[in-house]
Amino acid sequence: MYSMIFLGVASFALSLILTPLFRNIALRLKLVDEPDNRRKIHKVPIPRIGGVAIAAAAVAAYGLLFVSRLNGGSILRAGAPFAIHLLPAAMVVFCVGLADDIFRLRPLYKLAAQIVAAILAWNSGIHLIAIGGRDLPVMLSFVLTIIWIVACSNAMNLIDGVDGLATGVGLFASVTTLIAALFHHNIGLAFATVPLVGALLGFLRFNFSPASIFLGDCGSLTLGFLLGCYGIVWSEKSTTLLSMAAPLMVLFVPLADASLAIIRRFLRQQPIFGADRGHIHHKLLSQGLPPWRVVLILYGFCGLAGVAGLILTATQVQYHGFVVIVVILAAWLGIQHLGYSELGVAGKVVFGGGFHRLLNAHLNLAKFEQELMATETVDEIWQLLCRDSCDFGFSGVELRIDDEVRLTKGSLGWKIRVDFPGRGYINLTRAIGSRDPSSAGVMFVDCIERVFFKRLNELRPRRSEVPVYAEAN
Amino acid sequence: MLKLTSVRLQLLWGILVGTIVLWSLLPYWGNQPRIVGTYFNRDWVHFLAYGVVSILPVLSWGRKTGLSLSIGVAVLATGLELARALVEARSLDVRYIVINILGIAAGMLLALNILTIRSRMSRAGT
Repeated sequence: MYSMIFLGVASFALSLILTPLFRNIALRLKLVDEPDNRRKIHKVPIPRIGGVAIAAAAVAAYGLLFVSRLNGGSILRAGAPFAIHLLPAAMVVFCVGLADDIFRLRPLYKLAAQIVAAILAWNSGIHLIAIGGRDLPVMLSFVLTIIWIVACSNAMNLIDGVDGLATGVGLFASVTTLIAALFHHNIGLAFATVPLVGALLGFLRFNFSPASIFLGDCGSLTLGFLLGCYGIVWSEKSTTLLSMAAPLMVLFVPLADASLAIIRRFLRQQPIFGADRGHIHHKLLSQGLPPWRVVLILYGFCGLAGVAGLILTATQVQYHGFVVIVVILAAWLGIQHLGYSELGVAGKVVFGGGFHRLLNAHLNLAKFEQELMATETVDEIWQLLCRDSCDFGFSGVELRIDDEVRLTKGSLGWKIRVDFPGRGYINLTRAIGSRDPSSAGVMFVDCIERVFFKRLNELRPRRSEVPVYAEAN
Repeated sequence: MLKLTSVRLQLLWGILVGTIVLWSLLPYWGNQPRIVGTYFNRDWVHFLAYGVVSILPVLSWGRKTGLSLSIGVAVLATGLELARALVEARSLDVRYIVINILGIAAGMLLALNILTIRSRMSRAGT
């Protein structure tokens, strides 16, 4: 226990000492994040290699423990397989993050490096071996482990958008993991988490709003990677599907933010790896909240999710379902208050009958198009128009072809006119306040413009346009 | 069809709270736990009953008063569970205190979600 306290205090103190040191070095080397007055909210260049200070503090704390007289060194040596074998994988993520902070790498290269690191982690024994007490096949275990670790790394990277947010979220996750590790008597996991807690706490002093140093990709990617790996080690003790959700709860805020970003970009057909101002923290900032308040709100959610995770891991199975229901309802409420228009519109389309109306309109249109192509006379086309136009929200039709006018009684409303050059036109009237989907009406007009004119010319070409062929002798 | 007005919801809430109080403190006559236990898991009965009792005040009285009443229900639920120790052949179970509070939290959150959707729909005029 003393070794653990020593490790935590040492990493905290070292972080307090090393962070300003690395901040000054970064300023001298111009390794700074320049403000862009668009997506970034800081006004002056700020050093972005804070991850180096955290890593240095954590590693140095381990070093101090090794050389100290405390028996933690021997405990650490005994539990070394987990911590030391994970080191190469963590180094890969850290180096790629650092390279991105210095040179700006392409997202695909970063992703490839994260996958390599996740494979190394799998190789070092980080395996998602079972779900809900059932053993997974090796291949599935491998794929799920890689996906989980890469998802955690990127989620933590994506949430690093406001001063102190990623560091605080990481701190909450580390503390929760540490408590769970102590509860499960998992000394290896506790020893792996303690220096992270200390180093993050020390770093938060400089990273909280207004920040004088940023975590950087080297910090956020490595933090997400380590927490993902720790989550897998934690989940090894879980026997049911719901208790496996505990490590997920710990990273609930970053994972929810990443999932929302993917869903939003998919719905808008935007590149998944692109940057935008639609993350949870951006939404809260756009509601006029100051950065420190946004961060505190999200800390609150992380705290609640952490408590839910601990309840899932420490209590009887009977509570688990209820805890998960409460967390889902809280997340739903939170997402509703963020006011994502993409989700609102998608929800309306799927649950508000919009999808069925659109599907119905497409089916009606396909039928209309088929029947239109099968007509033989203009009168048949007219009857078809009169019959089907109301299905697309039009209350009246006026057709003028070759100076012949056909008219239905229509209520007052706005009109759409489609001209058929040299032949006439069609006027479609849509009643004011019509509740039929207007998109169906547009599709109908588009179909008339495409198919109707073509069919009209096939049926009875204008006299002047009838080709005159020379008669054969 | 019977329309669920605020007054009717408030009345229903009063009846449900009364029923819960009576059911919880009624001395054991041998049948009531069995009636519930035969058909349903008793944990879920606690969770759902307190969930419903905390949804109704938020929906009928509004956010501020409703949430206060729901918190009052949480206090009442804990008090009732503690009071069961004093009733003949009934016992105190700390597990149910946790489940009741989780049910009340779920009910309050669900009601707040419904209110948010309702206000959004009324803003959109649908």
